[in-house]
Amino acid sequence: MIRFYEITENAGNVMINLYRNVIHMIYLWSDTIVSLLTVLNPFYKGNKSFRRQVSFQILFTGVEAFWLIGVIALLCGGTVIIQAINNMPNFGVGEYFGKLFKIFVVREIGPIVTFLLVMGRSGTALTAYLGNMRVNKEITALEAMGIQPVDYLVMPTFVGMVLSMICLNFYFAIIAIVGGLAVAEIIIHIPYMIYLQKAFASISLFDVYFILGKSVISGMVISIVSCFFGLSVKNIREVSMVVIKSFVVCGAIRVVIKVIVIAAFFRVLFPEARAFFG
Amino acid sequence: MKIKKRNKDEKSKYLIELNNVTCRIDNNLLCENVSFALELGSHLTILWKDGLGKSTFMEICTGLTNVKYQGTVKHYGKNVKQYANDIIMKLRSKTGYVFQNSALISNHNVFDNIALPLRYHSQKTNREIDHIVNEIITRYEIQEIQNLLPEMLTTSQSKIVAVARALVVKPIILFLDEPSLGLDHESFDFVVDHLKEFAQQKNTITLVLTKSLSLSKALQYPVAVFFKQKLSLPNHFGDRKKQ
Repeated sequence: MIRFYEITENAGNVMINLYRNVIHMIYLWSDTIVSLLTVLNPFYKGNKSFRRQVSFQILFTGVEAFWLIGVIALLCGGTVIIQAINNMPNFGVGEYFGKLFKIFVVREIGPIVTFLLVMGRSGTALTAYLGNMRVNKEITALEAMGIQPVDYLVMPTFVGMVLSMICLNFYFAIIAIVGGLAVAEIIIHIPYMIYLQKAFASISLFDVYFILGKSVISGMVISIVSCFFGLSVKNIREVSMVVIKSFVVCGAIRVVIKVIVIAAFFRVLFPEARAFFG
Repeated sequence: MKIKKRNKDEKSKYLIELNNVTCRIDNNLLCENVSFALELGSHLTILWKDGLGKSTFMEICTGLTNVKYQGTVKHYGKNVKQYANDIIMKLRSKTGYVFQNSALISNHNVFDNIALPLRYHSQKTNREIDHIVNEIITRYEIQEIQNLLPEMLTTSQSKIVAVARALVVKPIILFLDEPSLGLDHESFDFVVDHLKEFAQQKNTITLVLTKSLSLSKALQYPVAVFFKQKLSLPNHFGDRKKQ
């Protein structure tokens, strides 16, 4: 029989754990930033593995995901373009093709799909890797050698992940436009160059900053949450659990950040909506 | 047991000092009132039965553990819990630690594992570090396996690599947790020779925790025996033993 106090007790424990985890993640993030600033100091001569670790992370997260992201971008871009070109003129908004494409694919679909793919592919792998390192006492070995796990593992991952996310997001946007239009041309025979011009003409510098901002936030969230859960493993049974947990928490944090940012900067981010909201 | 009082300003000659350390894990008593101190040039082997918390005790000695214990563990005359994190990390850069399971970094090959502490702490250039590591690799006769990942090594090989990694920084203090576990006869003699060579250097400390009587005999360090949660120290550690 479930008693009321058990439900409230469990709910309370969940809330306390959530609060602790969020605080610890913020600590980890701040430690990572401090560590990054230390390494970027030109007079600092330690931690020579930094570049090697960053390039390893870029190779794993960025370069090895190029094919996957490319195919998904091609499919997303192609589908949206075919649907838009077929249906928009029916509603009399055919001339807004460029703007719709920009908002829908470049600003929204691109970053979210890249985030999900990188989180699913690299973030979970990172959590499992760090969890196994913790179980095999490799993290303790690093500490025994006087090497901060944040300096050696978290910070290079953080840098590599952010750089990879930036590259992948721009890559997605370009493939979605150029490749998507090519797919559309093959299937429904559209005037390729005209639509390409329309799509690129609608993209402004603001959109570039927008993608950049989203990439940096996504990279930070994936790396910090994955590392946090990976490093918090205590025994081998927990590894598989924290992998799933990190995936879910990553998504949740990104949604929360997005809601907060949209609520705070709605008018700046979506100037087109001013007509509706005054 | 009372600890000999010293003037606060007097600098401790002991680099490692355990005072009345008592530790319980889940109501199981790991150790009770363990006190000993090691100064420069002293080496100690602690014989400890398997499965009774040897590695946890070693982590307490090194200040690596989060397990709660009573008493104090001092390194360089100061309680390890009172050190700022960056200072304890710098102190550990001059400490070697060989783990029971070797604990080599799994995605680094043997060369990178040995170079790891130097790359992090040393002010030397990458070329100089590579030169030092190559020398160590030649000295430990592991040239053939230098490009292999830890998963491809035998237990003996990974143990030798772990000893090489611990000694590459020329440590002042060397902690060894079951260094002979899984070693074949040849590797056993090889490791013992290198540990003896390390002990012959001036201003070094070695603390070995093992269950192996043959290792303690081979190393010829003073032997302390851990029995029924108490540590009985050899006579010339009497200064601490009396306390």
